[in-house]
Amino acid sequence: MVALFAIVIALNIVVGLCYLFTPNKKGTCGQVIGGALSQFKFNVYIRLYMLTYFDLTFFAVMKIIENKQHTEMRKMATTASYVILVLSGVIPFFLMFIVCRRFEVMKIKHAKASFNTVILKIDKQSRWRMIVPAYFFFRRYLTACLLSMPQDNTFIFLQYVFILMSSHAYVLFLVAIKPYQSPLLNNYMLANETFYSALIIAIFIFSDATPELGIKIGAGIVLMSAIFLLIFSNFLMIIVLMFKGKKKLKEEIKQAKLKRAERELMEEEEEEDRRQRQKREEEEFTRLPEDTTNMSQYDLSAATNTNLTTGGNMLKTSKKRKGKKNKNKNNNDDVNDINLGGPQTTDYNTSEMGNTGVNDTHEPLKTTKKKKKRRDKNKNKQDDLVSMGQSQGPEPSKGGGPDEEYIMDVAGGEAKKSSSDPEKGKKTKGSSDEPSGSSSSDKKEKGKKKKKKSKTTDGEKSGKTPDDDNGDDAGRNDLLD
Amino acid sequence: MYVNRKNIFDYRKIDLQFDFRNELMAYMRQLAIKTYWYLLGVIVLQFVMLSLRQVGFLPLWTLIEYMQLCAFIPLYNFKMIPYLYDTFKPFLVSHLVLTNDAYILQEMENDYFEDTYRYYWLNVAKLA
Repeated sequence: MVALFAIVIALNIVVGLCYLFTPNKKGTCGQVIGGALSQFKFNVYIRLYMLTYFDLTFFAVMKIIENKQHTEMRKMATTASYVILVLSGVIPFFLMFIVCRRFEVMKIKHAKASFNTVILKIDKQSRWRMIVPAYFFFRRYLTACLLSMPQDNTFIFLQYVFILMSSHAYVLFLVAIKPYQSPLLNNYMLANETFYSALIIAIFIFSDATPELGIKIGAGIVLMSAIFLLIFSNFLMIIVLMFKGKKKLKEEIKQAKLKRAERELMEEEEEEDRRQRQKREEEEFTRLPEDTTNMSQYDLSAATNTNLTTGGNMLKTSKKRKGKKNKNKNNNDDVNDINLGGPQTTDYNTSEMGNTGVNDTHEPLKTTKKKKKRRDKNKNKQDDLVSMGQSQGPEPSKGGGPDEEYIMDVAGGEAKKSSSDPEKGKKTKGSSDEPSGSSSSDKKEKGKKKKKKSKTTDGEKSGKTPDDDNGDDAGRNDLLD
Repeated sequence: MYVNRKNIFDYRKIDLQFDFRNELMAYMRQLAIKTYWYLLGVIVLQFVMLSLRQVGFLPLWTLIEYMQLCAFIPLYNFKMIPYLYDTFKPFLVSHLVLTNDAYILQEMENDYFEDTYRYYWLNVAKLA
C-alpha cells in the first residue's frame, strides 16, 4: 500500500516535470500532459484512498482489537492504527462535505473537476444520489469493524446481519433511486450488488445451521457461480463500453438524462396536483363544522314554526352526504346543500335545541348569502346544486320536501338522472334563492339573488369554472408546451 | 458465563483439514495461484483498454471494489469447505496482498490474528 502511494507520487512528479519541459503547452501533447497532470489534482489521490480505504480501516481496527504491544514496533503500529482509524472517519466526512457544498455548481464540469472521481457517473440532478459515495465509505467502515470482531464475541451474529442488511439496503436504493447516469450503468451496478448479495446469502449455509455436507457443497456451487457472474458482468460491461465508444455513451447519457428529467417533471406535477387536491379537501373539511353550526341555527329558527319531523332524518342524510363527499372529491358543496336548503328544509327538521326558541330570523338569511357566495365560487358542482334544488323543491312549504331530499340522497341513481337534466338544475337554483317569507326584504334579496343566479348560470354555460381555467389543466398545458 | 462459553467453544472446535496430498485440493490450490495472476492481468488490461477508449473507469473501480468485499468473505464467522478458500483467494489481489510469501516484516510471518486468518494464510506480515 505504501509502495503504491510512493509510485503514484513518483508518477505525479514525472508528469509534472514533463509538463514543465513541454515547449508548446497549448499543443496536443501539452494538452494531453496537462490533462493528465490535472488528474493528479486530486482525483488520483482520492481514488487511491478510496481503493485502500477498506484495507486501511480493517487493519487499523484489527490491530487495535489485537492490542499486543510487547515490542516498540507493535506500539508504533497501534498508534498508527489509531491515527488511520480517525482519518477513516474524518476524510469521508470531509469529502462528502465538499460534495454537498458544491452540489449546486456540480453541473459545471470545471466545478467538480478536482473531485470528479468521488461522484463518478452519478447523476447530479438530485441530492439523494449523492448518497452513493457516502454509502461507499460507510459500508466499508462497517465491514472492516465487523470483520475484526473476535469469533468468541457474543455479538458475532451481528457480523452476518449487518453485512446482509447493508447489501440489501443498497440493492433497494439502486432500484428505487437509480443513481447513475444511464440505465446501462444502473443495471451494471445492480447486477454486481445482486451477485454480492447472493454470495452473502449463500455463505449462511456454512454456519452451524446445518451439518449436512451435501447442502454445503450445493451452497459452494452457488458461491462459485455468483463469483463467476460477478466477473462475467464486468467482462460484458467492458465489451459493451468498447463497442459503444465515448460518443455513443455520451449521447445515451444525455438521452437518459432528458427522459429522467421529463419523468421527474411529470411526477412533480402529479404530486403538486395531489397536494392541491388534498389542500382543497382539507379546506372543505374544516368548513364542515362551521356549516353544521349554521345548520343548527336554522334548526333553532325553524323550531318556532313547526315540529313535524325529528332531527334524526336530517342527521342521517347529512352523514350520508358526507360519505358521498368522500367518494366524489370534487363535489365539495355537498354539505352546503343542507344549509342552502334554508329555512324551508329546516321547517321540517327540529332539533331538541330548537325548542328553546332562541335566535332571530336574520341569522339564517345572512348565512344563506354567505353560502350563495361560496357556491358562486365553486360553480362546477352542478350535481350538488341539483340535489339541493330537489331538496328544497318548488313547493317547500308542502310536507313532501325533506322526504324527497332524503329519497334523492339515498337513491343515487335517481340523483344522477336529475343532475344530467339542465332544466332541473336551473330551476333548483331559482328555488334555492327563495326564502320562506314573503316580506319586502325577502323580495329585495330575491332580486339580488336572481342577478347573481344569472351570472352563475352564464358561468356554468361556459362549461368551465375559473378554477379549471386557471388551475391544473392550463398549468399542465403550459408546462407540457 | 463468557468463560464457560469460550471453553465449550474450544472444546467443540475442530480445525479445518487441508489435505494437500489430495489431488483435487492440490489442483485447486494451483488454480487459485494462477487465477490470482490472471485477475491481475485482467485489471491491468481493463485499465489500458478503458483509458484508450476514454469511456471512464467506472467498471474497473467497481470490479476492484466488489473483489475487495468478496475477498474477505472467508474471514467471517463461517466454517467454509477448504476448497472454497481457494475460490476466494485470487480476489486478494484487490487488497494488494499479491504473493503467498511475505517480503517485509518477515518476523511476523507466523503471527495470525485468528484461526480463520491462518486457514486463509493471511498472516500479519502479509496484511502489513
